[in-house]
Amino acid sequence: MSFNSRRTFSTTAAAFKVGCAMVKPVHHKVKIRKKFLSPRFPELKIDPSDIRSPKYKPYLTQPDRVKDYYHNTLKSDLLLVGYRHDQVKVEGVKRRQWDMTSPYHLNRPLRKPRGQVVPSPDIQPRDWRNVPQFETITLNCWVKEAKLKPQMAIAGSLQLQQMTGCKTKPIYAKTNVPTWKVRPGMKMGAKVTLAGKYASQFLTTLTEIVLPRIRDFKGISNKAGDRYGNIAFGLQPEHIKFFPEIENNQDSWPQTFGVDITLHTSAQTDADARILLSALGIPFAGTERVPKNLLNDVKESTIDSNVEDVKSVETVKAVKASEPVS
Amino acid sequence: MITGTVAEREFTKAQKYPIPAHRGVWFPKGMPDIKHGRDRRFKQEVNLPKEILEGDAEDLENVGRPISANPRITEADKKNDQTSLERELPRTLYLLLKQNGQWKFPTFQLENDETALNQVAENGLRQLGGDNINTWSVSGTPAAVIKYVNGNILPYGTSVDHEGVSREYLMKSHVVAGQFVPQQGKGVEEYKWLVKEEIQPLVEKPYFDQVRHLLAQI
Amino acid sequence: MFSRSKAGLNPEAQKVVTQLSVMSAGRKMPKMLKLCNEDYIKHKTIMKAWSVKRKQEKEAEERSIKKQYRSIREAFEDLKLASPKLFEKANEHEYGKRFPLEMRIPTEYPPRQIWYYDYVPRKRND
Repeated sequence: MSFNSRRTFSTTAAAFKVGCAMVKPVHHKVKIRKKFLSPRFPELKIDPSDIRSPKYKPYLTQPDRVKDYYHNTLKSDLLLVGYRHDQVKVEGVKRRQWDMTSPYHLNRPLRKPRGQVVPSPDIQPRDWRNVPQFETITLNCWVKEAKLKPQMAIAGSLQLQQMTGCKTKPIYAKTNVPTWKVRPGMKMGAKVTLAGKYASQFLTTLTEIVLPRIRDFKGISNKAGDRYGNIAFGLQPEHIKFFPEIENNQDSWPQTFGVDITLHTSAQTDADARILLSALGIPFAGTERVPKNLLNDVKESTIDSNVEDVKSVETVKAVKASEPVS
Repeated sequence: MITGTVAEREFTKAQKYPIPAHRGVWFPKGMPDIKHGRDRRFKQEVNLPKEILEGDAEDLENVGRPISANPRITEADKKNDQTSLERELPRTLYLLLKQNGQWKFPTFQLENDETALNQVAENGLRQLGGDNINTWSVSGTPAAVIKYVNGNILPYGTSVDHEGVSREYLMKSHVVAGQFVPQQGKGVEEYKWLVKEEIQPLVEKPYFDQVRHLLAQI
Repeated sequence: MFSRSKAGLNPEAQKVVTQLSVMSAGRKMPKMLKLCNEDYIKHKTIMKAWSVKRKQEKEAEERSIKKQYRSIREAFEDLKLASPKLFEKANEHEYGKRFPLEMRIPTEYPPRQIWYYDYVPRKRND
């Protein structure tokens, strides 16, 4: 044991160490991917968008008629429908400040927004950049019988795969309800999120083949929606039989399972999303309620009406309306 | 043991399944690489059972008739009948009228300010082209305005302080069913259903410049 | 070696095994393409040219929709001066508007009856 290494209370351990870092501190900032350092498996270093990569997936392999229709026709129509002159931003419900009546309010996270748990986004005025667009579809198949017969969850998953042509993900029970015999971790069915050509394909199958064949179907409820432009509805087990993939193979499907379908759009409100989805062939039924703050979203008029009334009498005669019909 | 449905068995019978690799057998095109009954080295070939493809394509009663697509080029395309709605199926058609010797979109005089602009346009179209047309007005929002002074079009973005400015607001509608039949004594000399490129030579240049961006490319 | 044979299973279990094998992707993976250098360069060139073309189309569409937006704004500014009453009417919100179900997503090939000509408006019973 050397003299220098003796530890005393009057000094610290750091005093015996080198005064600066031996390693340049870039290792905090630059992520080192070890596969690039190793000479092994060269094909794994190729970018997945490169055709030589094992992860390469061909994309845009077929025309997408839903997408084409949207870009050729619907987009400019939706801009016309959604546009309001002098429209202003509608503020969402935000987190609130504490009133500082208690010293413990200092440095506390902000209060919950009024009436909800998470804040809601602002609704921006209609613009050429925020024309609503159809994005994805989520299908969720919760099989109730799976709590007693676990193999039913597999059948439900296979049914989703058959309907969509996409790989599903299992869903699990989260709650413990002894009376229903549900425990956390039980596999209860499957879900799948469709995008791109799969979403378009499913949407057209739904609107052209399945929904028209449902006898008592009037339309999706105008009350459905999550306030932020995503519309959800359900299909009963007997309606699933109308999907051609299931119908043409009825022997294999003695039992079908109901599915919850959510149509995700980039619309800022449900009302906008419904206008978009109606253009894609989805009917709606029932009364629609639009929140009051959305109805009064234009600036107060700044025109002095008395002066303008006199002027308009002269000019109105010259106003014509002209119409391109497409 | 026979398994599967009748259709399944017919389908299986029609397929040409690859021969699996055997020890001591030489394969001239290389060793087969078989997964799920198909050789992964080659493109998969699916043979449909013969029965499905037999029959007359026009015979609508026969469910098993061969599928044949209708032609995308119609009679109207061959005759270049520009008054037909069945021409240029993949494209967007626009209705143009010849009024007072001038080709234009249908134009209507505004009588008062009690009726909304899109309603005026819808009513006016029915006066010119009869009631048997079903159109859907996209919105009350005007798509554009064209301003005239003494019959000349003002360029885009000109201020409107001039006296005697007359205006045309463009309202968009879609025709859903029915047809446009010019009515007698309403001043419609001719009408045509045209795509964007055909509109350009027909109308005046300043007019087309004002509406060019409103017309669909496809 | 693990056997994939389904013999000896009861029908219930056999069904589940079949269902799982239909879903599993393991044995359905297509074989990886092996391109020679010439084919690879050809592929890269075509894909690049195609992506440039798509980008141009996207930008053209963006320009067009921006122009449409500007012309709507201009029309409204003008209408506000010309006739405040018509402006109010045109600027009403349109929530609850629906596209007609007859306007359908275009298909690759036309139907047997291309256009419905015999439209007769429904008479209103007032």
